[in-house]
Amino acid sequence: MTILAGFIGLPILTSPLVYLLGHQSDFHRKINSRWFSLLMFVVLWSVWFGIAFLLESEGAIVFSVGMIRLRMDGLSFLISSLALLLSTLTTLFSFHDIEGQTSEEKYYGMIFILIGMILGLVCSGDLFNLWVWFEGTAISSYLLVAFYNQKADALAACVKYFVQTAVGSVLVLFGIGIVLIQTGTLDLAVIKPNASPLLTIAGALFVMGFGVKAALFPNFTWLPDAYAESPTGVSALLSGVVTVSGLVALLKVLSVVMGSQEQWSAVLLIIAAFNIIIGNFLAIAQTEVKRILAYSSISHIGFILLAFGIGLITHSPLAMRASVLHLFIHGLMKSLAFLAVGTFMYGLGRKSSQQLTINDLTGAAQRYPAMAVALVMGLLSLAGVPLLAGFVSKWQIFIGGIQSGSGWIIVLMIFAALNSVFSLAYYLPIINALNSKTDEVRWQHTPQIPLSMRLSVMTLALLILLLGIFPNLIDWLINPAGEALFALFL
Amino acid sequence: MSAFIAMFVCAWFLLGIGVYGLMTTHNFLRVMIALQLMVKGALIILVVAGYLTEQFALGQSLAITVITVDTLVMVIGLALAVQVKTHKGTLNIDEVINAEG
Amino acid sequence: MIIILLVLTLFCAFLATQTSRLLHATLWLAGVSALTSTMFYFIGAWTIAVVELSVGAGLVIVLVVFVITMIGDEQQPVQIKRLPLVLIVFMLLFILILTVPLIPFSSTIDLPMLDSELWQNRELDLLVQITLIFAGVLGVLGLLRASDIDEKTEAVQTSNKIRPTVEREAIS
Repeated sequence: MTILAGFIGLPILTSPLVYLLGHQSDFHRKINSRWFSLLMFVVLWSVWFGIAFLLESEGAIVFSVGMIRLRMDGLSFLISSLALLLSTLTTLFSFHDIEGQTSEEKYYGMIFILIGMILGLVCSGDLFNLWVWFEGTAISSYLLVAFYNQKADALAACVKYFVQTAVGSVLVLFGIGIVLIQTGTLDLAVIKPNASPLLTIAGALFVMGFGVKAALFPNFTWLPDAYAESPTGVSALLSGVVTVSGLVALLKVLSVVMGSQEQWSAVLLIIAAFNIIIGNFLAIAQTEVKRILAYSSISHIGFILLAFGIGLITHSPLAMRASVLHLFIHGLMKSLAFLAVGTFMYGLGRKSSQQLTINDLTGAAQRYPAMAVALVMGLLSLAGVPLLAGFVSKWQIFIGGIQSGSGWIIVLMIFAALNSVFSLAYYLPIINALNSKTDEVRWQHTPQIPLSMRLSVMTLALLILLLGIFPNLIDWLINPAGEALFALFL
Repeated sequence: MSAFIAMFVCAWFLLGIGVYGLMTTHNFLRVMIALQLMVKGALIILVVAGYLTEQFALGQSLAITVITVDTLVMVIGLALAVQVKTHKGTLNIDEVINAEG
Repeated sequence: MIIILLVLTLFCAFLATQTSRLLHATLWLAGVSALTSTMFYFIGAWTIAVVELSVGAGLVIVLVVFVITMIGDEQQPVQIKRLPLVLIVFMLLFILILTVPLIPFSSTIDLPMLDSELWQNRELDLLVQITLIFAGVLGVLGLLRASDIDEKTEAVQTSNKIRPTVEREAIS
């Protein structure tokens, strides 16, 4: 169906247009690129509606170019929707956040390319093609992470990110070569896993290579720096969608090289457990707010992988659905937290890459009550407090695990629950600082938060609240994704 | 036939030398050179994979794509290196990374 | 013949990581590229031999030398570190012992081979590459830009900040 080609190709094609439109020297004409971006997002959302209806009726959309198949199923549709939602809100937020930086049109152009690459990544049906889209997401995010290229810390963060991602992608290439030698084909739908040592080594290479991008233990050291030093919108996008797309790419690829599922799921569960606990412990020691959120991302990716591993080892579609639900909701919660923090940075007049510590936030609720409420909602949702969406997704994970009945899984569930409660220990200081009634001078001459920033933050906060009370609102999105993930492996 | 096996082994050794270069250097540009060595290994293994499965054209088109993409990555890395040197004054990775919190 | 090329390649690669001067390391990398390209030629993969020679031993080396002249040549003392070397050699032997016996033998392959059309089935890779080139160019332009805030936008920003405080003073 060519509508799929349109969906993936449209962001890629609009990127040069956005860049050229904004590449004018006059200030007022620079704003063209912003409004053009918004226009293109409206177009993209209408294409999204078309795809949603098609998926309802047909189940999966397939589009072939040559011998490579692009396939949009439930899982790809979920990630595409998440990517589209977060990029729309991020672009809206960034109108005023990066105002005044030279070459903002490169920023908007890069965001469009990044979105196009993520859409291609999740739809790809060919192993090597998946690698090319994966490299695309990496290349388009280098500029976004180092956008404040005058600041030495941002450049250092980008260097770390660059080296680790590049090494990871070469390892993936070796894995692809081995799979090609063993099976003679690169088509993901055709390769049948068997227990040959070649495929096991390929699988190990894939976990190491894609695991860098997906921030799995021990390859997540690039993440805190990259999230903290990039512009706020980019942090929101990275944490919500890009890292998770690395995880989805890993899962798609592992589905064809897993010879013995029990052993692989045990390995994945161990990695997930390490992610959860190390993310939590490292977050406690931080005073910079964006770094706390970054380490919490590492922990939540551990949760997603944990739910997936349990679903794999116990053949439970419920646990798979829970992992996909947490993937979606974490994207929303984490972006909400980052964007809300970004509004405070804007209020204090700091560029996003300068440090915002917990102390800097004291008394913020008096000046910006709405934004403070939004940030508190985001943080409580991340910790899993009831009535908010985070509780729903974590509860689903726990139920999926406990239903399996196996002793080790119950131990893992208790471990995960303890860590979830433990995470309150680093969210509560932020909430306390926000609501403290001090007479801080720094909040006295701060500007109004622009409408575009408030709109994006409020939209996410409303979604979190709504999904916490009525989680069945997105069943049409989550159920096909869970089934698609289940069908990949079992 | 033995030529292919020998090239396969050589590709892995190139990866090993590249990783060794990564672990023992402090200069960002040497890191890039080590990355390029690893990519050469990946190229060899892709072409050999194509030959072993009798799909000669496939192996070569994969390898050409890898050359293009990794040259792009190299160019971006060099731009990054220039900026780091301008603003940090050094290309020593330890100093660049450990200076921040 | 190929064995000699392989040994030379590994030799050049090892030297590329060990020499003290950055410029020499780049030249050894060019040597590795040239030898790899010759290996491809001997197998019969002529297209990729040409591309690898021109890009690997040409474009990349020129770029790195250019950057080195801009940045300055840093010297690094030559020392062979035992522990990483031993670890890597063990890992490699482990992997090779596992994988080499499993490589499918086929008696119908002999050297050299002709290659047929390259891009016929992988057009999508080609399209994504074109996009990636654009993304790479945009990235390089963005990374190398000199960032000075436009004067007009700075004026707009400061006036936005002054206005609410002026209003607050007017009210109180």
